[in-house]
Amino acid sequence: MKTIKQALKSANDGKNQDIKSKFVAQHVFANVNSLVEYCLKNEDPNSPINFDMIENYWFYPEFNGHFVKFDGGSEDKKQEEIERAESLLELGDAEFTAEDQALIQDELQCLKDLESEPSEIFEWWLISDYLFDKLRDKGYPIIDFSNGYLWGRTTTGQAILLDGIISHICAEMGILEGQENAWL
Amino acid sequence: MKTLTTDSFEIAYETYLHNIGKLILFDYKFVWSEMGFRYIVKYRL
Repeated sequence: MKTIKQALKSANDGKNQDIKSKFVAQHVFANVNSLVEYCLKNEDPNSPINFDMIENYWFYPEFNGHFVKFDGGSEDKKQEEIERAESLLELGDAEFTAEDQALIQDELQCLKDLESEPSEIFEWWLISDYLFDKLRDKGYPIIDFSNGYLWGRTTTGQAILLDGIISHICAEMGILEGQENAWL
Repeated sequence: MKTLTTDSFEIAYETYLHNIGKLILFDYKFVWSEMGFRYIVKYRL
């Protein structure tokens, strides 16, 4: 049986493209670009969709220090790393030299000072609740509004099944070729 | 003009090779670790 990592290496092979195509057909319903952009642009207070409803729209860039390492992402993920770095500082002289402690302190401050950036959304798609949950967990821009679930896609011009996130989700479900739940 | 923004280098490079005479831009940017790189290919239709 292929692991997730092994399956991802061949995620765009012919059979896997067929599998991902079926997945996309089940979970991605329609392009609603013009509808969503119209709502977002007009800032009508009665609009069913507005910018404040976009989850994961703002994200923090990565920070790679010697002790403090942040892969980028949401406020929660940044906070996790801040707490980890603070726990390193609490170890104090027992684990770190004075120089190292100063370095951790500097890096921690840099991490705290990181400013968030907006996602670059090219397309809006109406999607299933299942795909919505997966995208939300992985920090992709989404909107939960009264009539459905929307995905703010950050790629464009290629088939949705070729998006890395679709491959990741399918590999985690174990449905790619050679995996335990392979859709063949 | 056609724009392709992809998270796959292979797809970007293949598009680049197919449109080399019409190419306007072949570039990439880092989005953030979980999303990784985005490759951008712009070419005349």
